[in-house]
Amino acid sequence: MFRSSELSNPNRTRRNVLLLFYAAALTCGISAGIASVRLTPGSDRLGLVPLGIATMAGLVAITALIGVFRTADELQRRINHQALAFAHIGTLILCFLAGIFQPEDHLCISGLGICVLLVALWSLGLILFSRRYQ
Amino acid sequence: MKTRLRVLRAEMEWTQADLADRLSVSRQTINAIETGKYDPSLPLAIRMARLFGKAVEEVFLLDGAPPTNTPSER
Repeated sequence: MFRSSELSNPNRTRRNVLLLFYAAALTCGISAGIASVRLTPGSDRLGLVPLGIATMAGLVAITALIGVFRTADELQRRINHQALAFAHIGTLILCFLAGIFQPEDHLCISGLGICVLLVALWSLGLILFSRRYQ
Repeated sequence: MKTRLRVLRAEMEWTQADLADRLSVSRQTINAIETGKYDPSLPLAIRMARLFGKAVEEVFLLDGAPPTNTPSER
């Protein structure tokens, strides 16, 4: 009989490589983004180089992430769809509430905050919906 | 939907990881199907049935539905 160690799953290997690319590109992109904002406050031209690197790294990260989704099996895709729906609806409601309370200076969400909120709710959704099928 | 996947897998002496590798899915998917938390798609159900040399109706049983004649019984 075959054991799991004797069988190789090319999908899993490809997924791990893509995840590694994604993590590397994301780290590079965030570092370059911070560098473009913080390290070169006075010179606009010098700030364009890290900004270009950050953009390229962002594109690589998105491509790698799409590749990861394409290697996912049907249950993983379902979990991801549910998590994305959770994140989008959560962000929509919270942004709506922020919009209502903004004129009264009670609550204000910046554009960057919306990105963080979306990613946080997406991650939370992935954890919650993964537990449902365990 | 009920499934005989666990029984069939045990007959072949395969672990969940073995079956997952053969079907190119994750072990979590096999576990979710065996515990009845997830109903597989039709292509995956057919691939599973073919792997065990059975008809789909012999691997998956619909809750409350009367038993039907499987191709092997006809």
